[in-house]
Amino acid sequence: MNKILIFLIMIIISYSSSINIVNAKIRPVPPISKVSSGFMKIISSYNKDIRLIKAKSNFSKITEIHNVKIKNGIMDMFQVPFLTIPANGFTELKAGSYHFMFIDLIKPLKVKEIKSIKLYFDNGVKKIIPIEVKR
Amino acid sequence: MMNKYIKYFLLSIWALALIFLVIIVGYVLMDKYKQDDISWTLNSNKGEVSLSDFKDKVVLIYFGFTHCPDICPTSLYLMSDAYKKLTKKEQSQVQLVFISVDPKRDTPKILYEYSKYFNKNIIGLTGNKDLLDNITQKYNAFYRFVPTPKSTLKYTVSHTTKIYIIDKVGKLQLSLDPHKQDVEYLIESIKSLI
Repeated sequence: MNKILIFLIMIIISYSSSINIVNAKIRPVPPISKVSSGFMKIISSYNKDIRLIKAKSNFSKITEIHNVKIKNGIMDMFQVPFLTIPANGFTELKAGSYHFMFIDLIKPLKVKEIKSIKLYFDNGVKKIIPIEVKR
Repeated sequence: MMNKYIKYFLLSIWALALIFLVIIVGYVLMDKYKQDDISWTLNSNKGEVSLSDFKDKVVLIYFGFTHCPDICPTSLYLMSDAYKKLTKKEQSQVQLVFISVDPKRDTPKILYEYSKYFNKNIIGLTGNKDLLDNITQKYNAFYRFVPTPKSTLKYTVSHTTKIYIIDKVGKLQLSLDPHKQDVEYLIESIKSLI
């Protein structure tokens, strides 16, 4: 019951500001795996571009922003220092593109579990949002 | 007398032409044999496994690594979803294989634990660099270690993202891009080879 209440409060908080997050999810991975990835859509109603500069999660020791490029059937993955969200626009973290890398998972992830992630933007805004383990 | 020399000369020309032809045909056949050779023997947590162990089965192969956050799980989920939608009889004629090109981090034991999460039919395999280089070359696949000094991961692996499908007689029939094909297409591809 408490978890649902926290989840609802987090959703209300996340919708009350100028940055909204939708479809936040963590990819379920085998229990032996120490890394997973995360996806979401970050929508901004600010009149100028903002940058996501850092993220922290409560289920991994490290959270990094990465990108994937597939060219000629070959996948390249690399870390990026920030992610730009255009003014009055959105940036999507999705499969085959930008994503969070959750490194050194504290314990195995279970499908349907709701975790949280804190996002830090370059305009000083910080947001804690719920993120579900699902495919 | 002169005629005799001409005769020998012509015979020599024919002999040379024949030798040349044999060399060309041999070279072409050898090249074709090399192209057709997609065999391998790699290590699982239960010992060596070879492609030839799966005669009379359709084999799906994916090259990747367990620290791959995106395309590898996507591909393994896709292979697993397709497998689950087959009948029991069809499933008995299919083998799913995950080959890690990152043996430094992915031991056969880790690969066993990792692969079975997606589907119990997936065999996780790996080998040393020479073996992996040889096998990926046979499949015209690619992998490369990329240092990521700023990331905690230290390095990542760029690699080909295709699912290779081998028919029951051990011939590579097609390769699919998991980001572009859906599960139905994969199922149809498997069924067409059963």
